[in-house]
Amino acid sequence: MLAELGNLALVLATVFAGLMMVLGFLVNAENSQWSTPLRRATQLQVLFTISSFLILISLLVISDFSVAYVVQHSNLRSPLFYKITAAWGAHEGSLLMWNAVLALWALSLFKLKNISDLLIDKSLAIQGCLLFGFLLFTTLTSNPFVRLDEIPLNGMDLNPVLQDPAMAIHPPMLYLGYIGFSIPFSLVVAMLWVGDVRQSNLRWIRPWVVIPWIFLTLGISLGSWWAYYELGWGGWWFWDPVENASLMPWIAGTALLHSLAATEKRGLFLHWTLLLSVMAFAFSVLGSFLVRSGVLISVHSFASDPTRGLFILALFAVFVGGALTLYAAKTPIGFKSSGFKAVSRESVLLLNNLLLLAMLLLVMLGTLYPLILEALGLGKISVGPPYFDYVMLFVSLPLLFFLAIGQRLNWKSAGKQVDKLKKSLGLSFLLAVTLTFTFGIVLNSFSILTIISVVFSVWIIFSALQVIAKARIEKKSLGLSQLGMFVAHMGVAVFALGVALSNQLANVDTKAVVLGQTVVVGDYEFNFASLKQDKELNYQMTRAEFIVTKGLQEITTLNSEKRFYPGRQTSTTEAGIHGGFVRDLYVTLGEPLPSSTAGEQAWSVQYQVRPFIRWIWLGTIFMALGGLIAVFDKRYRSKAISQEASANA
Amino acid sequence: MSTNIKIILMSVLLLLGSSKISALDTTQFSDAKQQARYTALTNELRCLVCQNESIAGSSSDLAQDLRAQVAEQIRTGKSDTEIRAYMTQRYGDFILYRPPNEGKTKLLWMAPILFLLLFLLVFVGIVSSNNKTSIEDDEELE
Amino acid sequence: MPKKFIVWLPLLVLIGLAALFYKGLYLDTNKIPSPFIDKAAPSLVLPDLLNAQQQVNLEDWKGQVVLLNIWATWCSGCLLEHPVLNAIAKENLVPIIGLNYKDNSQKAKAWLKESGNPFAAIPNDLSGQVAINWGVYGAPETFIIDKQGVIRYKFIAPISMDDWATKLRPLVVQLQGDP
Repeated sequence: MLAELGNLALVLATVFAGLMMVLGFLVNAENSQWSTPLRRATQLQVLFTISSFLILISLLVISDFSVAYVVQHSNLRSPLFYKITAAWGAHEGSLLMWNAVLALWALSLFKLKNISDLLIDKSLAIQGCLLFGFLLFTTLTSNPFVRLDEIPLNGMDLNPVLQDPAMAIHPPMLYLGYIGFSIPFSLVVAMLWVGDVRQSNLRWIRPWVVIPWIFLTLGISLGSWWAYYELGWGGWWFWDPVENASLMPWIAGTALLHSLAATEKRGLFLHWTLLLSVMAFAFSVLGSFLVRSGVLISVHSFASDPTRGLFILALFAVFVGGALTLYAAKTPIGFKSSGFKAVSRESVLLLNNLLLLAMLLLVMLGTLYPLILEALGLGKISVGPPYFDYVMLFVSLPLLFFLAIGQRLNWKSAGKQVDKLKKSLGLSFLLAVTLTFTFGIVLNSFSILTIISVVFSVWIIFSALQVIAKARIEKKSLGLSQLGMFVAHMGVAVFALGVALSNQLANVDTKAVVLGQTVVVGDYEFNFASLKQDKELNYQMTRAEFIVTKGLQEITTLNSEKRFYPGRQTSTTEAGIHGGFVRDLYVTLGEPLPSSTAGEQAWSVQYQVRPFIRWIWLGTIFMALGGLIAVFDKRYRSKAISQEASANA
Repeated sequence: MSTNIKIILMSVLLLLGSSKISALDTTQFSDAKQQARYTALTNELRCLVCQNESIAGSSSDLAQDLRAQVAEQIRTGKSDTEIRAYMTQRYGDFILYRPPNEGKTKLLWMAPILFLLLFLLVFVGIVSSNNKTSIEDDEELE
Repeated sequence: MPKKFIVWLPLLVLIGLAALFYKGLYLDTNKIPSPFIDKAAPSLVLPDLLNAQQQVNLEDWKGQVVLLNIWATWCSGCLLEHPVLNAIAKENLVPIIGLNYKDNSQKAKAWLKESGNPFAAIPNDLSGQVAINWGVYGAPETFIIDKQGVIRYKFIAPISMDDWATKLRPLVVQLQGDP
C-alpha cells in the first residue's frame, strides 16, 4: 500500500513540476495573475517530491520486501541508521533524493526578496523544467517503488563499504552542493530570458553560490576522508573518473565565487559570470551522467544502462544547450568597464579565473581523453594519477603564488598601496622561507617541489594573518566578507601543506608478520599483539591488535579488522588509525599468507606513518568555514532583515 | 523463484567482483632503490581485471602474476622502460596509468603548457584593454 | 565579429561533448583490444593436459586456421560457453586449441569427461606465463589465428551461437579461403 502511495506522490510531483513549467511560461510583466498559482504549484510540488522520498525511507525502515529496491539494499539485520541511508545508497533511491533536494532548493527561491517577482517566477519555471525532466527520468527508467511478484524473506543488505557514517552523509552533502548550483543557473537563465541582466541582480545570487559551494566542499572532502580510512590503504584521492566528475563542478563553482566578486563590486567580467553560473550546474549534471551511464569505467558508477544514460544525456543536452543558446543570443554587451590596472584586485581575480579554468579543462581533458580516442577508433588508453598529479602542478603552484599576493591588493589599482604592500609581503615571504628551511633542514628530505609548495602555503597564511592582526591592532573591523575570504584562503594553504607534506614525509611498509612480531616504521615500533575472531549484528570479523611504541613510550593500540558480510557475501577491511595533528599511524591487516615455516601463521600487514595528512581535510573545513563567515556579511543581510520584517508583519 | 528475483540475484553476483578489497603486497627487495622502483611501477600499471585499481592495489589473480613479473624483471636488471614495454606489448597502452607521450597522446601532455600560454595571452589582452590612464586609487572599495 | 563568435563557443563545445557521449554510450568500455591483432602469434609450447608427456606446439598447426580458446573450470563464463564450443567442434570446420589457464588439472579433466571435449589439443598453462605472453586478462577469450600463424581476431566474452554465426565463423571461412 505504502509503495503505491510513494508511486502516487511521484506521479503527482511530476505533474506539478509540469504545471510549474506551464504557469511559469504564462507569467510575464503584464500578466502577473499566474504568479500566485505558480507559487502554490511549487509548494505542492515540493510537498509531493519530499513525501515520495520519505515514503521510500519508511519502506526501508519497515523492511517491506515486496519492493525490489528494499530487497536489494537492506536487510533485516541492518542497523536502523543504514536502513535509512540505503535510501540514497543506490541508483534509484539516490535519484529520488536528487529530486527531493532539487525541490527544496526551488523552494529556497521564495526567500530571495531583492529580486523582481517576475525573475523569481521565471526561475521557478526553470526549476520546474529541471524537476519535470529528472522526475520523468525517475518514473520512467528508475522507479524505486517497483514491486516484486514474490516476496523474499530477507533482503540483500546495503553494500558494506557504504555502511559507514561518513559515506552515509557524503551523498546528501554532495547533492546539496551540486543541485544548489541549479539556483544560480535558473536565475541567470531567467535574467537572460526576461532581458533583465543587472549587476544588482547578480549580487543577490551570491549566497546561493556560496552555500552550495560550502556543501560541495564538505561533501567532496567527506568522500575523500571516507576513502582514506575505509578503503584501507591510506590514499585519499585516486583521480577516479567519478571523483573528477565531482571535482569539476567544484572548480567551476570556485571560479564563479571569484568572478562574481568582480561582477558584483565592479561590474566586470559579466559575460563570464553568467557563463560560469550555467557551467557550475552543467558540470553537476554532467557528473551525474558520467556516474550513472557507465560511459567511463569507474569503481563508483552504478546502474550502467544505455537507456538511462541516453535519458540523462538528453536532459543534459536540453537544459545546458537551452541555457547556452539563450546565453549566446541574449547576453547584453557588457557594462562599461571603469578600468583597472595590471596590478589590482581585478587583474588577480582574472588570473585566478583563468587558472581555475585551466584546471577545469585539464581535469576534463584527462577524464575524457580515453573516451575521445576510443570514439575516434584510435585505441584504448588510460589516464591515471601520474598524469593528473603532473598537470595539477602547472596550475596549483601559480594559483598559490598569486593567492598570497592577490588577497592583499586593492580594487582598480594598487597605486599608492604598492610600496607598503611590497614591504609587508616581502616580510611574510621571508618568514615563510625561513620557516620552511628550518623545518626542511630538520627533516632534511624535502624535494624542490615540496619546498616551493610549502613556502607559498606558509606565505599565504602569514599574508592573511598580517591583515587580520593589523585590523585587531588598529581596532578596525574587517567585515565578515573579508574575514571569510582570509579564512578560506588559509584553508587552501593548510590543504596544500597537507598534500605536500603527507606526500613527502610518508613512511609505508608492507610485511609478512607473525603474532608477536615487531616492525619498525619511521620512529615507531608496531607490535602484532593479538588476533581474535568475533561476530557482530550483520558481519563476522577477524580483529588484529597492534601496540605502537615510540622509544620506550607506548603511544596507542590499533585495531584492524577484516569483516565478512554474509548478506552480500563480501569482505571489507577496517584499518586501525591513530590520528594526530602532525601525523597519522595507520595499520591494515591483510590476508593470512601460505605459511612457509612450521607452525606460525604469517599475515600480510601494512604499516604507515603519514605526517600532516589530516591537514588535507582540516584545510577543506577552513575553506567551508570561510564561506560560511562570508555568507553572514551585512551586505547580504538586508534581505534577511526584510524577510524578518515580512515574517513579523 | 520468479524471474525478477533471479535478475536481482544475478546483478548482485556481478557486483561481487567490484567490491574493493585491497591486496597487501609483501614483496621485499634487499635494495631500497629497487623497492622504490617496484612500488612506483606497480602503482602505475592498471589492473585489467578490475580496471579501476593499479596492480599494486588489486587482489586479483592476474594482478598478482603481473606483480611477480615486475619483481622478477627488476631483480634481473631490466629497466623501467623495458618493463613498461613488456607490459604494453602484451596488453596495449591501456595498462599504463601514465599514458605514453607520443602521437595521439602528445596533445594530452602538451595541454597544461598550451592552456597556460593561451590564457596568458587572454590575460594580457583583457588587462591592456581595461588599463585606462585615468584610474585613481580607490580605497573605498573593499 | 569575434565577440559574436565567442559567445557561441560554449554551445559548440557542448554539442561536441554531447556527440562524444552519445557515441560513448554504445561503446563497450570494458573490453580492451589486443595489441596482437595482425601480428605473429607469440610462441605457445606447453605440455598437454590429457597427456603431460606430450608437448603442444602452436607451430604444428601452421598452414591451417585455428581457434585458440582460453578456459578454466574456475571461470563461470567458460562453463557457460562450453556447449557452444562443443557445437563448433562438431561442425568440423576449424580445430579449437583450448589453453587451460591456471586450472586444477584434475578438475579440468573431470569437467571435460562430463561435458565433452571440443578441443583438438589442450596446452596446460599452470603458471599462467603463456597467457601473460598472449595478453590474456580474463577468461574466456578466443583468438583466431590464420594459416601464416598471424593473430587476426580476438573475442573477449563467452561466445554465443549467435556470435559464432555472425562474427567468428565468417572470418574463419574467409581466412581459410586465403592462400
